[in-house]
Amino acid sequence: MIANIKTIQTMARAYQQICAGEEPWVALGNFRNAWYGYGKDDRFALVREPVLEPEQHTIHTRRWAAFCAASVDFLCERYNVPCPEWVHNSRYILTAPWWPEHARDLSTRIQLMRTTPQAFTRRHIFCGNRLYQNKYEMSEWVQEARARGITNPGEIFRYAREKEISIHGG
Amino acid sequence: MKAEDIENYLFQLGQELQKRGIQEPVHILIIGGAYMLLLTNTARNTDDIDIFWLEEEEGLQRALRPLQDGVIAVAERNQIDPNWLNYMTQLLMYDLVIIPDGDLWKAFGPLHIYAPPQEYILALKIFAGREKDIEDCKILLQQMGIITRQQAQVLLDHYILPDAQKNNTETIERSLNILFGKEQQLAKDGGAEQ
Repeated sequence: MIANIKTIQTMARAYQQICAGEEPWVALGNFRNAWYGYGKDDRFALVREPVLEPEQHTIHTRRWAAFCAASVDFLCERYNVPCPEWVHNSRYILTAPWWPEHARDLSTRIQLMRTTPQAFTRRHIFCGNRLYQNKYEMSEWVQEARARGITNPGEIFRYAREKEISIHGG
Repeated sequence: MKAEDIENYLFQLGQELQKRGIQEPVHILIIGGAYMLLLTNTARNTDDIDIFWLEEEEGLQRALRPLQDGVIAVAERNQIDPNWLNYMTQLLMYDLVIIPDGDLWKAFGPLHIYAPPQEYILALKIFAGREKDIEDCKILLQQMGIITRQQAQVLLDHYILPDAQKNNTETIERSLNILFGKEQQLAKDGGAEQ
């Protein structure tokens, strides 16, 4: 059980901050810190509450609501946490796809379509597969490599990346 | 998937939409291999039916879930790929191309299928530029009587947005070179410099 649920960065809180003008990657980065760090013993508490969309929605609020739902779907599946029902609401499927700014040519888009996890593509978000890289896990794998006697920095990195790919697929 | 399979699955999807209470027409535009099979009489198979939505945001939001559920129901009943009705091309190209209204081809209950002009399919296929697209382009060029690169470029300019052409120059050039020959373009470029 997390001690101070009112102060921790739940997904609902992150979304609320995004709608209030916070930089999305800051709000979601804080959520990620909770998920991988101080809140990891009760992850369901971080995602149970649905995001609350403002009455006057915009493309920005719609997109980020869908992104939050996709993130919860993705993380719950990956870390065997029960997935809350709210993420499956069809309002979180974007009617117009969301590509990163740089994805203006078809080959980049096809590549993103292939690498983006299904939790995101199902909602028409094509963001690639490196958004929820876990620096905490990375650090553990680096230590694990060293414990195995690997000293070359390049080989340590390769070991950690292979672990990452084997678990997260990218 | 053959022509009769496509019609059969679309018919079943129309029924599924009705079962799910959809009464307002759902408009989709048929493109890709299914278009080639049904509307150009090309002897080939296709793995899926590529479509573009013709719905505005509100209509699409309303129809999306019943459609997705209906597509899965048809897939399960016929033991086919759940992605048999595929709108990936639209997701890839939605802000890169013009989407024409097309003409009503057939209606299966509330499911209204529209067909774009052949020249639109040709422009999309030049733009996509995969091997199977190029093969389809050859058929379309013949059926439409298009013989020059300039004629093809007119179609591209009509349907593919300028920025999209600029950001995908390499693919488009490659397609045009295969279809119309590289030498012609080189000669043209050389001539322009003189």
